[in-house]
Amino acid sequence: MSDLFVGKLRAVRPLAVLGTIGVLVAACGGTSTAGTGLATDQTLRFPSDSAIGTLDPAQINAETDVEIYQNLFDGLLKFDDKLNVVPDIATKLPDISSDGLTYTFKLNPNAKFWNGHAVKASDFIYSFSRSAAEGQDAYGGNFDHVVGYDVVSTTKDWAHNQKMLSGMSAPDDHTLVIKLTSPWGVFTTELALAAAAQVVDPTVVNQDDANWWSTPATAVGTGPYKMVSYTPKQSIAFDAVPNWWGSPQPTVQHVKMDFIGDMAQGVSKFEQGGYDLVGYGGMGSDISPDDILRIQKDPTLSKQLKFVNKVRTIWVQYGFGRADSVFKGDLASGPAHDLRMAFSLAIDRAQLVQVACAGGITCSAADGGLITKGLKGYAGDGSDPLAKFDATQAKTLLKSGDPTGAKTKNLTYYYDPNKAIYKATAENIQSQWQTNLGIHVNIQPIDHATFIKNYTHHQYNLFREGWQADYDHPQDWFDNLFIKGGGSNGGEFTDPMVESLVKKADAEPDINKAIPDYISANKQMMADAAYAPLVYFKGEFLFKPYLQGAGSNNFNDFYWNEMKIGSH
Amino acid sequence: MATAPGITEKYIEETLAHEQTSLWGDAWRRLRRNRLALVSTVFLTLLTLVAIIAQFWTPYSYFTQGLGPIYQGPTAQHWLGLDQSGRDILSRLMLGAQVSLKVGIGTQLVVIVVGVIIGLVAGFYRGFLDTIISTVINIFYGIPDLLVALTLVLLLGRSLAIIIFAIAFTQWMNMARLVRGQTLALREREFVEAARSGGAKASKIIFRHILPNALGPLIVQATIGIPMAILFEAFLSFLGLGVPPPTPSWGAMAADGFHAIRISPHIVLAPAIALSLTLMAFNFLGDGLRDALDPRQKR
Repeated sequence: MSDLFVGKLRAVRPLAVLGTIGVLVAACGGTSTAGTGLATDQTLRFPSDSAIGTLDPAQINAETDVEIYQNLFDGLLKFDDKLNVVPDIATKLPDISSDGLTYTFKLNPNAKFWNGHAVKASDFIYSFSRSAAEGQDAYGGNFDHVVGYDVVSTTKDWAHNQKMLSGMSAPDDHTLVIKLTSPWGVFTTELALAAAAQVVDPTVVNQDDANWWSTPATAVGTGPYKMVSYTPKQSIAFDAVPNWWGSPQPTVQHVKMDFIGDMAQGVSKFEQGGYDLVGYGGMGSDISPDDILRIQKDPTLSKQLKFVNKVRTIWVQYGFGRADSVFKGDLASGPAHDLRMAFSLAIDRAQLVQVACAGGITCSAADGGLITKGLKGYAGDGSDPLAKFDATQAKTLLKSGDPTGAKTKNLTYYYDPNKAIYKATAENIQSQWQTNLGIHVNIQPIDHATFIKNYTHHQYNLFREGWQADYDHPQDWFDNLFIKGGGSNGGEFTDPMVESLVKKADAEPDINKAIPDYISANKQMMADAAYAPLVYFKGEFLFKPYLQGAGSNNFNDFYWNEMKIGSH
Repeated sequence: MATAPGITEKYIEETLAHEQTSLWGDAWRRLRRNRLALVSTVFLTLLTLVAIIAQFWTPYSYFTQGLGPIYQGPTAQHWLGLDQSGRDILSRLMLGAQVSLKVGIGTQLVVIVVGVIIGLVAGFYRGFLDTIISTVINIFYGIPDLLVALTLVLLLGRSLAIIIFAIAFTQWMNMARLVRGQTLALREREFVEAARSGGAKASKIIFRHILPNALGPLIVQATIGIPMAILFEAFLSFLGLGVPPPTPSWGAMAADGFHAIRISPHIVLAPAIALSLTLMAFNFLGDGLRDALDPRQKR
């Protein structure tokens, strides 16, 4: 080696050292945009334990889908992070006529789809009519008070036979008028719901009505993000829409979401730095109790663990319609009523939450009625007599309801094991019924999709039922679940007194005046022993400390465009 | 040279005693020399006793949850601690032993009945029947065991009887092939020839002359098949397709404890250790029996 070469080497050594430091810093992900405190790589990564069902506004129904979808599409109104109904594409809340029948919206003239098409009032007429016709298994019923719904909702093959809601009109491109058949106090709330009421581009949807949403090139929305890749059951990715019409402008530029079967893997990857958060994409992450207890003992990780009360209640539902159900009939009193009461009173909810909810961390006993604590219509702590634990009375009622023991032989409780808490509650109530009633009830796990299909077709006499509120209005808890013909009334429960109270409350535009009737309806169901309450949910989340603006309210995850990834 | 009378008598006594030893006596003598096999026999006897006792008594109810704090480690009240539902692990382990033994032995009983009959028929009659049976056996060998068992459990439902049937359905070929081979060899032996010349019926030749002489390898095969069946059941239970809850199975207990291994390893360790010891004991006993019953195959 010559001296000249060694001299050159010495000269470049400081540069090499600086370069190496630069490479190392970059490799450690510690890059930041100078002065902003933000990371240069604004990619948000997180897992979900459920795959996507659909991102089509007309069909959307599942929580995971909604959590994604709300970042891709807009409606007239939306909920803010504090659950207030606020304008979205509408420039302000609607003008409502004095008779409560006509809603007039002014649209933001800047609103456009990411393909450049401007949003027109006629697009909303198309979108709402399509949801009313094609969304009968989802939220299409939210338009049932709009004039013309009966015609549109019964239209076969709407894609090729497009009929519009006659109660909707567009005096100009930026004015939308909706006429209702009768006053409907929940209507603005339903329009803010992230399902059915979002606008789609008719020129795109008409090309492939069934599959347009699943391909990045045609999944056209008005939201701050657009899909850039989708591998069913594996992963999905989104990019921020450049020069998006709304605000705030997205800081996070890329969102990558993996669909994983076992959330323990997601937690593990989060701990290794592979994910920025865990819990987005559906009512909290379903982090296993084991992981929660472990994380709570870790001084660093425990600070990243957050709990949010969620708007979900689960209960045991009895079959009221099937001929072979031992629980049907005797609404107010009688053997079947006593049997239902016995099954409910035999469950010690204190033990249930200890065992099924990581020592009571991830849920609480549902002892205040069906409507989750914190929501309008909650009946009050300890107000539900069905949540009382009384093994002695339960045994007495069992003797009255099933003197020979023949009715309760070979009963089976059906549940979907896709969430750890469903399996844990099933095993716990099986144990409690055996201990406190001396009855062995088989428990049968059924995969989630089949379970939902079967219970909505009234296949079970004893099963897990639950409801996640769509919005903070008690109406949401009754029409679908406990009214004759309700889409999710899997137990076919019906009580004329409940129906009458709910009908009266639904028609009341002032929610404060309606609430007492809803509570009375719930109390009537308690008297009927219509269900056996189990627990109210909490959502569990893990957020890296550098994430700004991440969080969740009782209903939904916060919007992605409100988030920022700080330097780290 | 004159022989000392005492030595002659002793020699004669020993010779006579040796000659009077039966096949099974001889096997037992050889088995006793195998310490691992003996220890395994003692362990399995104790395990069987525990399984029988569990039918009538366990320290706590095996299904009652909330007996104490979930994930609690071993204490004076709960020697092996509590699981994720606050159930007593020792009680569940005792009943789990019963499930494992029922599956192991039950499966082998089915395998013996099916495999022996098919093997005897194929080996004795040979020809077209043998070709058909051998082809069927080969086809069954080509289908993955797990796939067959999972399909059967999913189609027929989860119960102990169905699990035994499903596992036996994947194991009968080993027994059938073994018995067929033994029969093919034995049917050419002189004593079978003699019986045949004496006008003995086929059924008598099969069950009086061939089967008894094939019993040794058959027992060895069955003994080795037991741990395979136990492990298979544990695996099915680990996947959530074993015996339905709340009946405990070691595989299901391990699956339940698996996620909590970092905070409460005792939940997964108890069934895992029990399962490992039982499998080892059956395997050592199987090896010992093979050495004892068929010294020519001694490894």
